[in-house]
Amino acid sequence: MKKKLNYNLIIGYAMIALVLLMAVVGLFYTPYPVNEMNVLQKNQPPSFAHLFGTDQFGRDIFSRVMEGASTSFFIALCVVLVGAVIGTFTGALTAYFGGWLDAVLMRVNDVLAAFPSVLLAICFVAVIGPGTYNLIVALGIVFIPSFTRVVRSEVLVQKELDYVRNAKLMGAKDMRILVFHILPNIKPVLKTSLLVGFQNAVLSEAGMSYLGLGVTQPDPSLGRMLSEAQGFLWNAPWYALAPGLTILALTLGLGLVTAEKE
Amino acid sequence: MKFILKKIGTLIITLVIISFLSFLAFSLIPGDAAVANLGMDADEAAVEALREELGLNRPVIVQYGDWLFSALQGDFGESTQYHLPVSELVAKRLPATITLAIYSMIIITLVSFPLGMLGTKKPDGAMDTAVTVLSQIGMAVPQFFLGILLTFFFGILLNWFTVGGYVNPQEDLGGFLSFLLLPAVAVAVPKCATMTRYIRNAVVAQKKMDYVRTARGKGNSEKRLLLNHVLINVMMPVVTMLAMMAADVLAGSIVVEQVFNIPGLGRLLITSISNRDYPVVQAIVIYIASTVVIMNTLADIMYQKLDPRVR
Repeated sequence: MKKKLNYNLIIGYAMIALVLLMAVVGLFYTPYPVNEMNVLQKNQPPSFAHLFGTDQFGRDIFSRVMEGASTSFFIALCVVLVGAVIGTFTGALTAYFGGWLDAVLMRVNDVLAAFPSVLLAICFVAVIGPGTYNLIVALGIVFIPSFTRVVRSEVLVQKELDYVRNAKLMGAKDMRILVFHILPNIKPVLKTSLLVGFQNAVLSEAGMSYLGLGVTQPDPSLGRMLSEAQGFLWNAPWYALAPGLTILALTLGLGLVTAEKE
Repeated sequence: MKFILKKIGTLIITLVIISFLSFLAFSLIPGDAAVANLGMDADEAAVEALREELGLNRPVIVQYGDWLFSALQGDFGESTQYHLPVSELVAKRLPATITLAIYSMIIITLVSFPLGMLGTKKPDGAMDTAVTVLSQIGMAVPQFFLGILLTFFFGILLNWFTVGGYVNPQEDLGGFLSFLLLPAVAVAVPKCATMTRYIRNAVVAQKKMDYVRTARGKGNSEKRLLLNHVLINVMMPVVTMLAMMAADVLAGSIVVEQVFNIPGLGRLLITSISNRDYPVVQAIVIYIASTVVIMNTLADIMYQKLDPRVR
């Protein structure tokens, strides 16, 4: 029997691949230098010379979207890594060993989770200041609790199962059991959380940069391009469309893939 | 009763931790109120004297206790930018944000229930697929991009409202409410999508249960089955989820206020951050976080009261 084609998955992967391609190529080559201004070419509509048109300084929007996409990818990837690594670490340890450390860390986790994530990120940036690396730190911390919670509840279930007892009887050390026995068993759950986390990270990065609390000048960022483009909706609506649709393609692609994987 | 008391106890502890952490975070920032008042190149001795006068040399925990004591009486200090009491500034910006949040909650409730049940008559049918695709797009779109699109279509192309023309509720309540409609839509859409999907999945799952088969066997119509039997069982978690969404709605309004130029708490927060007006930032952060924690506690208690099985 032929396997039914899964259109959602194909469309989802295609959208992610498209943005990823733009981002990767943007690292090495852009049609125009991203910060090159050209007063004669201000607010040009899309054309063959400028695929997405030009902005208020005559900079090529397509080139800037390419660079912005790679910034978004880079930040989202780092954020998810920070959140996932620290979250998995704390979640697994507290669930496995329990005790007062578990109680304290869970309390802290609850408090962190009580803040809406945007607000928490805004707080951190208010304290440490904006900029690409500060944003990664701020969002990374914000993303820890969700991973901790998922990993903790999974490990709590797994550690009571027979294979763990068996390993213990065989004389395996606690760390060995955690890393080589339990971790491989929670991989599927972790994978979904990573996908969901990545989507959230892309949205948060764009939101923070839009608010002016993320990537700073002159680095192109999709979120900040949107906030600049807003002032030119009357005479150059395509300016807002280019970065907006790029973010949408990435998040929608991720959403479709996540929905199919669940 | 014991449950409620315990919940309220946890709530108070959480509130204290939240306020202490926020207080601590903002007191760690280099450049305190004394430097801010006298300027960067002020005389070191003068700064030190003012520090002494403002009580900035005491241990953080004592300062926090002092701050908490006045905060409980409604005094959150003074804005370093506007030289006005923080509570007055916040009170002025509150109506727009609260109206926006309530508006969004109403939209979420009114839209997601019918939309969620629309496709469940025939799971994976054409209608169901359409609803699923729609909610996927809704979940993926950033609120500020949606806001910009709405501004473009309704403000610029159709000219239905003045872009950025916020109307003061005291002057024109009708104008105020109609201006906030589109921002509310921008805040609500992603949450609507999540909710619709949740309701859809819950209804489909419930329909496979034995009690539905029994009710159908007794001759209930499909409509009655859905409204009287399935919906009651779906309702419980959905109500809790709605209460939990208050957090996301408030967070969403921070961003959307920026798009539509609405003078609410979110805009005040962002401008205060760029002005380094930390008493205001602190007060707003604690205000929003507290609202969220209180809403979550209410949701917990409500769930307990509504569902006899949890008791």
